[in-house]
Amino acid sequence: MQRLAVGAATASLALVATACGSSGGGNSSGGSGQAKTPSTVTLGEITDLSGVASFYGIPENHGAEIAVDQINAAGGIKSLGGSKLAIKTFDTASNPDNGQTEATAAVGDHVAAVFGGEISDTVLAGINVTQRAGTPWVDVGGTADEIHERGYNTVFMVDHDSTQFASEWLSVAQAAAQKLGISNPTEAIAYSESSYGDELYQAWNKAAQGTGLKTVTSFGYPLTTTDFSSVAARLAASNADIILNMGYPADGLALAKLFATQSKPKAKIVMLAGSDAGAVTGQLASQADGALMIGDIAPGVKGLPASFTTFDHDYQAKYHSAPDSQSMAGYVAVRFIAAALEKAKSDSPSAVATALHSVTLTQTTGNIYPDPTTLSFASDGALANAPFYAAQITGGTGKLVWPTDAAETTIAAYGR
Amino acid sequence: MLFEQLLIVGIITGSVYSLVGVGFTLVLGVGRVANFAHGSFVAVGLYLALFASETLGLNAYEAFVPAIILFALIGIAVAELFEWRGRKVGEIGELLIGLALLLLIGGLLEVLFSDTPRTINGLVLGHVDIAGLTISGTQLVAVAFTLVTAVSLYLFLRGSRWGRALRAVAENGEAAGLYGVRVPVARRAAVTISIVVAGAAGIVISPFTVLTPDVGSTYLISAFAVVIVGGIGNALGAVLAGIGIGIVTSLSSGYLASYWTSLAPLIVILIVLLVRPGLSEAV
Repeated sequence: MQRLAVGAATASLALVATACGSSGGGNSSGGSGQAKTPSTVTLGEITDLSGVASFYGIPENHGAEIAVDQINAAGGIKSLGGSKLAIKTFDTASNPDNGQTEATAAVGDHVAAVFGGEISDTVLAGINVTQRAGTPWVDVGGTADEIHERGYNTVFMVDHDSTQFASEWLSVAQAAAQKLGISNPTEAIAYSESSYGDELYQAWNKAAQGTGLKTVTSFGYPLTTTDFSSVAARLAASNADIILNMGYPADGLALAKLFATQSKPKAKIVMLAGSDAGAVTGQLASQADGALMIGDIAPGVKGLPASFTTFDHDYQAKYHSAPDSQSMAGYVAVRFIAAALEKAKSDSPSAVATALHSVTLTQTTGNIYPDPTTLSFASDGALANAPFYAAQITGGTGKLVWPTDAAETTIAAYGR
Repeated sequence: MLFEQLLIVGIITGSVYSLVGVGFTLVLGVGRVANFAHGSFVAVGLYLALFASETLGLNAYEAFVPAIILFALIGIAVAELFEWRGRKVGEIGELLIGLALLLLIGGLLEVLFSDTPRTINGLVLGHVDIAGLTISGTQLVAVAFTLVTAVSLYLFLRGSRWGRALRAVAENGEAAGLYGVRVPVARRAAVTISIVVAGAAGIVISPFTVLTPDVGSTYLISAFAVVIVGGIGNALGAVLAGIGIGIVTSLSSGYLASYWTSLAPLIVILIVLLVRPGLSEAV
C-alpha cells in the first residue's frame, strides 16, 4: 500500500513537472529550437469598461477591436505564420484599486502584452505587476508623467503625458490670446484634485513660467464634486481673460452648461481641457459654443491619411457611432503591439517589450493621425511626438482649431 | 459680488438637499428605516425625466404626474419589501434591503443609460438675473417645490388624523398600536411618501443637473447630513438644515481650499451634535 502511494506521488510529481515545463511565457509554444507558431496571440486589455471612466474605456476597447479585425483580416501576424490576435478584457471598473489585481490576472493568463487604462492611478498600480513579470503595458489613457518616469523598461504610452498635455494647451492659450489681441492675459484655473489634475496643474505652472500669464485665482476641487455651481461662480467672478478647467469629462460638461446658463463669465478664452468636444456637444449642442476642448478627428480634416478613413469606416460600420480620441488611442496601442510582434517574431512578453522600444508606426502601418506622420516611443516609453488636437465649439459642433495645419477654423472669443 | 453669487448658489443647492432630506427624515422618523436607497430614487427620477425627454418628447413638468403615480407604486412595493424583511430578520434585514436596492438601482441605470454623464436641455422657464448670476425658472421652481413640499408635509403631520397617527408611531410605535393605530400601515405609508418625494425631487431638479448613475450616493450622504442637522422626522428642520448646509458648502468652495469644501459641512454637523446631542424631534 505504502509502495502504491509512493508510486502515485512520483507519477503526480512527474505530471506536475511536465505541466510546468509546458507553460512558458505568452502563448508561444516555442522558444529556441523547435519553435511552433501559436494560432492565436492573446493581448490583455486592462481598462475601465464600467464605472465613470468607461466613458473613455469603452471607446478605447472599440478602437482596439477594430485594429484586431483589420490585422486578422490582413492575414494576422505574418512573422508568426499568420497568428491571429485576440483581446481578453480585464475590467478595472474605474477603481484604481483594481489595477493591481487585474494586472495579476492578465499576467497569470500569459498574455503576450497588456494595453489600456484610462485612469493614471490604475495604470500606476498595474505596471508594478507587469514590470516584475516582464510583460509590456501600452498605456492608452493614463496621462501622469510618473507612468513613464519610474524607469520601467516595459511601460509605454500612446497618449500624451501631463507635460506634453500642459505644453500643448498652453500653446493653444497663447495662440488664442494673440488672435484675440489680449496682451498679458490673466487666468483662472480650477483643477480636479486627483493624480491627473494635480500633475497637469503642476505641469501647466512649470510650462507657463516666463510666458507673461498672470494667475488671478487657482484652486482644486474634490474628485467627488458633483455640483459645480460654486466652482463656476468662482471662476466667472475672477474676471480673468482665460478660464481653464483641468478636470474629468463630467466636470467640463457641468461647467460648460453652468457657464452658458448661470454664471456667464466675461472671459474671452474658456478651456475645458479634460473634456471631449464630441461628447459635450452631443449633450449641450450650441450651449457649449465658444469653449475649447479636446478635438475629435473626423473625415474632412486636412491631411488625414487613408488609414484613418478606413478606420473610421470600419468603426462606424461596427459600432454605429463616430470614433473619439480614445478609440484612436486604443487602435494605435494594438497597432504598436502588432508591429512589435512582427519584429520580435515571437509572442514572448519580454521579446515584445524589447521590440516595442524600436518600432515605428507610419501612416501605412497603423498611424491614423494626420500629425505627426510617424509614431514611436522615446527611450523612457513616452510617445516621442504625441498627437494633440483642440477644438472650439461653434454652432453646436466641435471644429478643430489646433494644430493650425489641421485647423478647420480660427479661434474666436468665448461668448461673443 | 462673489459672496452674493455663492449665497444664491448655496440656497439653490441647499434646497435640493432639503428636498431629498425631507423624505429621508420621514422614513427615518416614522418608518424607522434607514433606507440606503433613498438617494437612488432621486437618481431614478432624474433618469425618468431623461427618458421622458428623449423618448417620449415630454419635458420634466409634463412627465411629473405620471412619474408620481409610478413612484407611488414603486413606493408601495418597496415598503412591503421592508415590512416583509423586517418581520423576518429585523432592522439588519431592512438595512441590507436598502443597500441591495442602492446597488441594484445604480447598476440598472448604468446598463440602461450607460455611464456617460448626461444633461437634459430645453426646459428653462425664463430667468432672472441677480448679482450677476442668471437663475433659471426651473431652479426657482425647485426652491418653491421644496418649500411647498416641506410645509405640506408639516401641515399633514400636524393637522390631519393620518398625520397624528404617523407622529404617534414615530414617538412610540408600541403605544400607538395599543391605541388602535395600525403601525405597519403607518410605516408603509412613511416609506411610500418618502420615495414619492425623492422621485419627485429627481424630476424637478433634472433640468439643471448633470446625470450619472451613481448620483444617488451623493444625495444619500446629503440626506444623512440634513437629518442630523435638522432632526429626525422634522420636515421644516430639514429645509433649514439643507439650505444651511448648501450655503456652507458653497461659501467654503468659493473661498477656501478644497479640503475645507469637504470638511466644512462635517464641522457643522459636529457642532450640531455637540450642541444638541439628541437627534430625534417630535414629528
